[in-house]
Amino acid sequence: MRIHCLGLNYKHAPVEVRERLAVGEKKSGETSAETAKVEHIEEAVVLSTCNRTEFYVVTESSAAVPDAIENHVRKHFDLGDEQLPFYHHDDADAVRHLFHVASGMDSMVLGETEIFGQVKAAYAAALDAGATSATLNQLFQKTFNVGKYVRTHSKITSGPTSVGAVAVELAEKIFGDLKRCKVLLIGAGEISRSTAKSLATRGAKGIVVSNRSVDKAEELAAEMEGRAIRFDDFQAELPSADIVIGSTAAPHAIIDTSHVDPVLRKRRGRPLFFIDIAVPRDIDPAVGERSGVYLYDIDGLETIASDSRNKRASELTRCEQLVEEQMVKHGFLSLRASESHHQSPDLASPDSRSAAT
Amino acid sequence: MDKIYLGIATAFFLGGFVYSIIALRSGRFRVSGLNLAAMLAGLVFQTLFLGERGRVHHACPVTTGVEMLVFIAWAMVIIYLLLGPTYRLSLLGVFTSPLVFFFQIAALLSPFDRDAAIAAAAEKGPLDAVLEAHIALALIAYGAFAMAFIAGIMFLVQDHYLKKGKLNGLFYHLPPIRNLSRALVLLIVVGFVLLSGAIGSAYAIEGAAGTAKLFIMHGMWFLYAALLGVQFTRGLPSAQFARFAILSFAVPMVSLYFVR
Repeated sequence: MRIHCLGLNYKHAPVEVRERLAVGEKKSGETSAETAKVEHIEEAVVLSTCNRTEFYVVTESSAAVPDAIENHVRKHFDLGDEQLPFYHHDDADAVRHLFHVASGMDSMVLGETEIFGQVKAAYAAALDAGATSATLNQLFQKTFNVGKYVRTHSKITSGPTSVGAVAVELAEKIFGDLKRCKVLLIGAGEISRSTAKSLATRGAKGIVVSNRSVDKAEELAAEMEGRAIRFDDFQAELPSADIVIGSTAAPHAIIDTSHVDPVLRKRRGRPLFFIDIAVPRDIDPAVGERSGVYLYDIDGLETIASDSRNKRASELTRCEQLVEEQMVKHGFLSLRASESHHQSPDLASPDSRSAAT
Repeated sequence: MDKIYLGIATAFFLGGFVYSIIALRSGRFRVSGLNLAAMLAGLVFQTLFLGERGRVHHACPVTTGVEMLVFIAWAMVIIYLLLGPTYRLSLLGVFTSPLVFFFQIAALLSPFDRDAAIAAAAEKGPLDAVLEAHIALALIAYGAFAMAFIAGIMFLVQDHYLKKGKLNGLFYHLPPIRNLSRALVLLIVVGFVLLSGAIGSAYAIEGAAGTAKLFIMHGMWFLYAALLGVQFTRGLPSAQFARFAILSFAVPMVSLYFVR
């Protein structure tokens, strides 16, 4: 048995190419089953996300060549002879690649955890469609263990990597549960919108939007299931707001200590979190010196996100070591070419091709 | 045997603390069962020690300085076990174990040993129920103030990280600042109520009124009453409340010397 992986991803294929090979969630099982019916292919799992489309297949001995799989993929997606940046991994390399993918090591945002669920869903769909058997069943079960192992034993998932994620992380470290948090948006810029959305997904309720253009405020408020207020009324909302996101185009600070001091007295020790995304800044930096006030501007948020991304990147070597450990542990590297016709303790000779090479 | 129990309990608290510090330094700390297990094991041996001493006195083991120290440490562990999960205060155990260890080691190294306890018990005779309740309430109140001291430190550490925008080190392991602030107020309230009970019961003890001990306890009561009064009427900024809680803890600590 040989394991192959054929695919393309965000590293070499732009979105215009990736979208042509995208397989919808509902079609995933069906596509896997169709692939498994191709001559020489015994089992198949199709993994399709916004960043990649990959075919994991098991073929019988060396009868099937990688070209056969590629031909099937080309035919399936009606790609003709068009030059596309496919990559092809065999046996141990294919297994290693799958481990990297499931661990988030091959993701655009290093260490992101969504991919783990996507791999699980792709496998479950293939399993339900009857496209898998012993080899891929065992491989994917091991993959889930390895994915968890790598995340647990490294810092690949540590720290927020986007401005929105940083805001959520900070808000949760200030307020704990965000369900009782009120969010006030002053200005309706794109980053403030996405940040407010991130907060809303973590339970933040009572989103109030204040914007110079009332139409835009109402539009955003409707999207967030919140309410819109006139721009001039934002100060009246300050005492009840827990998180304030400023993103106006005002040429000077619109909130200073004279606004915040009376608000803090009314809040009786409840913290106040300011997220200032505007340039020039909407909130006077002196506000951040007040006790119980946590103020972050766009640079502060971006620095934290960038630090996290760097930290994750520096963990990559360790993650690769962890994957190699797991490759050895599960017998993917221990087999020799001469043993390739035997069943390995875990899978059927997955690294036979590498060993032979 | 009681000293052995005390030694084992101390070792568990030290072990739990050292494990947490090593795990934190390695950057792979997770709130696991190990720290909790160490605290629970320590609690078991503390309880055995206090039980042994209780048998010596035929009363609540709060006669000697050693027993008082262990009793406060015991109260702290109980409060930690109740408070930690309620407020999801991760790392509370890590911060609690060194202070508990400090109390335990002070007890271990102090000159009060079993013979002294037996002699003291024989000299004083059996404690009456009101006196026992008075001492026990006061010591549990001290335990609550000690935990407020710990929560105050945790609050200021997390406040520092949040103010400076440093999302590293302990930041991810420390609980949300709002939870810490709530727990802090609750601990001071609990300590204050217990202390009030201890002072109230003191008036039922013959010869207690007008003593230096009661005077100090009243001073402490006024201090915490003022702190809570300002908090509930005007609302202190949480960082200021945390600083007061930390500084105020010096009073029960100093008073221990006199109360003993």
